[in-house]
Amino acid sequence: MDITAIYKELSRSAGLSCRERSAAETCLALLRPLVDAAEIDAWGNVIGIKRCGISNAPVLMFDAHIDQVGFYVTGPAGNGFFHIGETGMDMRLAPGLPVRVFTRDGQELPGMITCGTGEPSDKAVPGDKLYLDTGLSEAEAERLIHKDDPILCDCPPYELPGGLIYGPAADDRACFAALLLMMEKLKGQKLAADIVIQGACREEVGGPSAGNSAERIKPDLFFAVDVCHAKTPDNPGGEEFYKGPAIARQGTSDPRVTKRLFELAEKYEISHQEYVISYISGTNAGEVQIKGKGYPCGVVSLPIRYMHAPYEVCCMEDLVSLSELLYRFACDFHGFGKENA
Amino acid sequence: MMNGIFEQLYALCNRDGVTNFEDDVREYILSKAHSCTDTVFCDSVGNVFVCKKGACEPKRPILVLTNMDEPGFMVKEITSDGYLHVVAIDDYIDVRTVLGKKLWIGRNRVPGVVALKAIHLTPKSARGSIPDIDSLNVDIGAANREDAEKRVKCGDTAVPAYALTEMGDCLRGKGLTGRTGAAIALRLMQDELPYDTWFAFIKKSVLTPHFGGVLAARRIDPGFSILLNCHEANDMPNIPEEKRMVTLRGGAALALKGTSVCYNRQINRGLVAWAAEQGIPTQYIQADRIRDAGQDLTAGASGGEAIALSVPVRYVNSMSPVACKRDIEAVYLLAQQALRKAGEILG
Repeated sequence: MDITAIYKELSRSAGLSCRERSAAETCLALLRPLVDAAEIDAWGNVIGIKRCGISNAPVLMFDAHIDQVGFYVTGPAGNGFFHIGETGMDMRLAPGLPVRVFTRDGQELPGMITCGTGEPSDKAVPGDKLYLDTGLSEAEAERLIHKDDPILCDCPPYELPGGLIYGPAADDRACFAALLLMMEKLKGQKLAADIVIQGACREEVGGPSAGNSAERIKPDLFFAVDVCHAKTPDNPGGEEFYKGPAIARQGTSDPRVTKRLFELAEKYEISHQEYVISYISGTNAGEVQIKGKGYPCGVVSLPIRYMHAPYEVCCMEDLVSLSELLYRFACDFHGFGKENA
Repeated sequence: MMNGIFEQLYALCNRDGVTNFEDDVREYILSKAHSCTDTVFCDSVGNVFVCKKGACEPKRPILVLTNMDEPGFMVKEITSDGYLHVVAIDDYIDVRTVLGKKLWIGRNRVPGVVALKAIHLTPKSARGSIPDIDSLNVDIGAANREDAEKRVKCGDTAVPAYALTEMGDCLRGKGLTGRTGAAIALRLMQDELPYDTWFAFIKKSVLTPHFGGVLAARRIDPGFSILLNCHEANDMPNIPEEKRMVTLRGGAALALKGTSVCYNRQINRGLVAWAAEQGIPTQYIQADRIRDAGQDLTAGASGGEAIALSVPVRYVNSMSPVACKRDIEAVYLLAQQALRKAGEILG
């Protein structure tokens, strides 16, 4: 499996929060050969299951969200321009950003986000002063572009020496790529649990999709695989590249999961680092843990730089280590309920 | 016929030539000029001069003046952890359009991203402010200074990593502001011209707009000059119509006055009337102050007449300006007509 090529394909696929269908289809096509059954469920999540063949086996559910931050059209602004809204995008980075606009009739149009003209300023541009420009005449633009059309950064992913990939949607398709690699490793592996892979939608807007599907699947353990802030000059306390996945010690992650992850990482000499936060995880685990009668959750994170920026950066070496750690965890998992209740 | 302009424009914009470092662009212009005339030279500071023979010798020299540089950045420091600090040349590019964007650094176009602290980690009180460009880190994926110095050196120039591309019926990309005029000039140079005509491709226009015009006027002493330029199109929804200087799709933009100069009214009127007959859109620039090289062109030893024809360009101060192809064609056609009428203008 060429995981770098797969990750680049995932980075480039289009899946604005609440409008993930195209990215979901890409994810489904990549997942299907690695599982016994796969579908896009009623909420739009990509779900795949690999059965261990044991009746009433525990269910281990891995989750990486497949939606991404971006913009959408909120209405015409005159002279061929459009007002825009955002789904989690850092709007300070929007002025001058080349984008792709996905129209209702299936076209992909080039465009850019603009803050208009005037003297340069040291003040961020307020959202209502940002516009979409597609270089079309007013009549043509308003014929093709409609309210709610998704707008995504036009930033083709690229790789630098050291296996760093710069591009959109590392949050969280890099983790979905790690899950695909884990499933590839699990091919032919004897397991004691059914493994469910979820590519969740609507995470960036706090949507209920992951929780709803967890309610349906009722896993013995829900495992959120999401990103965290990597170390940069202006974030010296962040997790470091080339040191592997960050195993979270925090309020959402079940201590039994955390302990086991550290044990497995040590045993199999998998690069890893410790990630301590004092608050409830901002991942899908935060929502799922209080669904129904409650689900034990695990959280493990992949460090990325510049979360919610046009170019997010992930380290492929860490992505591979993440997949290895999750693979070892999946092989080892026998279900907490039976063993530790 | 028109395709020639856009071929030249793509070729010019996809070369990197930050102001005062225009070598690659100059090389291209020289190669194109040599293919259509023998009188081609660079002056001592790097401006390119070309004389194309026409059907007749004019009474006084005719000059088409345009630029060949582009706004950009320069690496001023490589940090111990492998990031770059850059300075903006003449602060031309609005820093708000630089954040989170990609640069090409140096001749090998090393990619770098202008990084900003993630929004989640930024206190709400700081989210409304934009930092200075030289306080930002450019991420080239280097592990440390030693690793970075294998790819980049202090003093390397950097340009927006946005190659010219189609956007609707427009073009979008770096270099448009400085090189659209040069593309039109190269296209004019390929025409059968009615009179011998000088073309000057000027460097450093971003930094010192008067630099090249003065040198060209002193050298050529033109009786009639055409300044090929771009002008900011501020036809945004948040700009009231009465404050719009030029509009995209409004056609060739003629300047009434430039820096300390009034352009020739009769020539302007004649061109506008001719264009109307031909169905070519034109507009007058509605701006009191235009920062251009106009005054220099009329300051040759014997004086002379001048006009300025501009392509409306949106977002001139951004990483990725936008121009409409029809407007570029309109400027070309007007410049072509002005050269046809040069004999009458010179008397």
